[in-house]
Amino acid sequence: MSAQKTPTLAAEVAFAAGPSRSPAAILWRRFLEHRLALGSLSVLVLLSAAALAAPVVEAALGLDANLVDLFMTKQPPSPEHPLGTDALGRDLLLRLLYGGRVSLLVGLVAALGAAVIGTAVGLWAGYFGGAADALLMRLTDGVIALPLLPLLIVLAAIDLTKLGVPEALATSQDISLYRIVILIALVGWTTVARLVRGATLSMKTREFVRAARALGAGHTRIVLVHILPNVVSPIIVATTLSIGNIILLESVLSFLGLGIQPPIASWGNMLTNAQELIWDAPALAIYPGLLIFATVIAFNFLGDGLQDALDPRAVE
Amino acid sequence: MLRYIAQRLTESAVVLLIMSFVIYGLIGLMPGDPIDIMVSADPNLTAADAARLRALYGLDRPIWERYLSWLGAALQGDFGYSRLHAKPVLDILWPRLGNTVILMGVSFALAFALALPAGLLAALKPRSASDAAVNVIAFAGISVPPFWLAILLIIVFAVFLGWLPAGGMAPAGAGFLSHAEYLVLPVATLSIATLGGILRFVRAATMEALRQDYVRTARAKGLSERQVVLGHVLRNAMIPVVTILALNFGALFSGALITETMFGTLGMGKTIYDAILGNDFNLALVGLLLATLTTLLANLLADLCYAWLDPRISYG
Repeated sequence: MSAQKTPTLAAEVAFAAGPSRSPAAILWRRFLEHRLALGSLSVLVLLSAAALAAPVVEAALGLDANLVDLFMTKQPPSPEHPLGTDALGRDLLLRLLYGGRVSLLVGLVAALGAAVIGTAVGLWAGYFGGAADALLMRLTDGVIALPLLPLLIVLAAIDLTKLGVPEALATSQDISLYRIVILIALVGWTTVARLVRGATLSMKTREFVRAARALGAGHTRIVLVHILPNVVSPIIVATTLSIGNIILLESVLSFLGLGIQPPIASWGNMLTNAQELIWDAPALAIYPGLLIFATVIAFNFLGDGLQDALDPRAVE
Repeated sequence: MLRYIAQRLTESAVVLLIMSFVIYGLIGLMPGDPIDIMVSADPNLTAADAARLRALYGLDRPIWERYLSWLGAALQGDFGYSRLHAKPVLDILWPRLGNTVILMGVSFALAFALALPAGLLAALKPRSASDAAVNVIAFAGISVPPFWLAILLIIVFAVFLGWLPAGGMAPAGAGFLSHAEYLVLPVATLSIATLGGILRFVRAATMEALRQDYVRTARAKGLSERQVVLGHVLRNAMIPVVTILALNFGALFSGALITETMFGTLGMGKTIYDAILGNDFNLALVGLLLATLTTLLANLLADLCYAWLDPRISYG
């Protein structure tokens, strides 16, 4: 019997030829292959940089973003106002940049808040199981299934002084910012909670967790040191994907007049009166929505790319 | 089966009861109460009159006492009057529920009819050009702010082309075509906003089903690709899709609220929104409860579909 050559798989050849890679390098390479995600990341970096540079642009143009000039309303683009002016004569470009600060900030902070709540709920439910698990998952399903927007509208309309919030704070200009971040974090944690619970359930039966327990580690240590680091990837993916949703939700609420309150600009509240403007100044109705759309789709593509890169089942 | 339905209906009733208390409490926290509104409408009312009226209407009693008396009346079919419309709330809500059901039903059916073949196609030919196109459409659908989409559609089809009305409803007694004309843009908005999510679910579920052993068996025993896809893949892929779609019914209702507000459709969503902004507490409360009830029933219906699709599940 002639010695038959062991067949070599193409993948083995490719692997043997390349230098050995760390897991992080593999992730990075997989991510680079996702062109949409890569493009989205650059768009987001660009948008954030532009939003951060808003005061610089403001100074360079020699304008005040909140300056109302009723003799200069709905102006077409000009050297002085690169994108023209809005219905109150304010510079549109500056409003868009400042609006971007608010929309991106609300999206990031609320997503982080939601991720913290979701992770805590998911770890607790997955690790301890039992009645707490059943109750928390019922709550999660309930929050997912409810018609959230009408409930958020009620919550956004609540008079904070009746909840015991000091008058000075409840009537301050920034309160609409804090309020919307808290509201969205309170309803946005469900996806993270479900994913973390699922991952925790599979982690807690692994050998290293049992070994840690055998060595005498307490529940807190096992959850924080052994389980949490292993469920980070679903948290990152779900959080990235939720930023897009949160920015959408913020824009809807602000558009309906219940989110970010003027004079603070947000892309949503810049569209509040857009329906009356479409006849004589359609640009005012198009730019803010276009920026919301671009930002949200970029976050969604980014999340999708991260998911593909982090998913252990993804085969090359 | 009947026992299962009875059990689920009981659960739904409990959830509805809890929600009624939560919403009742939240609405009590909204700015102003009915007496404040009366006082602001009539300068002749003194503070003493206001206090007397509060006592007369029971507004000085603690919240749980007021809730119980509201609940007692509601259980006997008395849901109170709407402040804005000066009519019993149910007289206002029933016809509007009908309008919302039409809007949601048509939009959902259209979105599903488009997403099912497209998602299937994408999953059967992963990484092809059509898969990439479907992917981009799906992401665009979930990322577009629905209110901005409505504005764009109005600009193009109502302002620019002048083909369709920009909003409102056909006069009572108008023919079917006239009603349909007013429905086109709202249905288009809600369908596009719903389509993306369904596409992604269908694609993911089909990919998952294609990986299963029974698909390989079906192919191995010589079934045509058509038989494999329609008989084995599609039916199994539908099981997770139905579950996820049921959970998204609440989101569909939120989308309907935005769509109705944008196009002036007299539906539940717009009614609830107007009631909250107009301090019409009774109407807002009953409207929100009706929306919750509809969501719960839709979830129940989906669970029954689930059992019908998957013979392994029985609700003995």
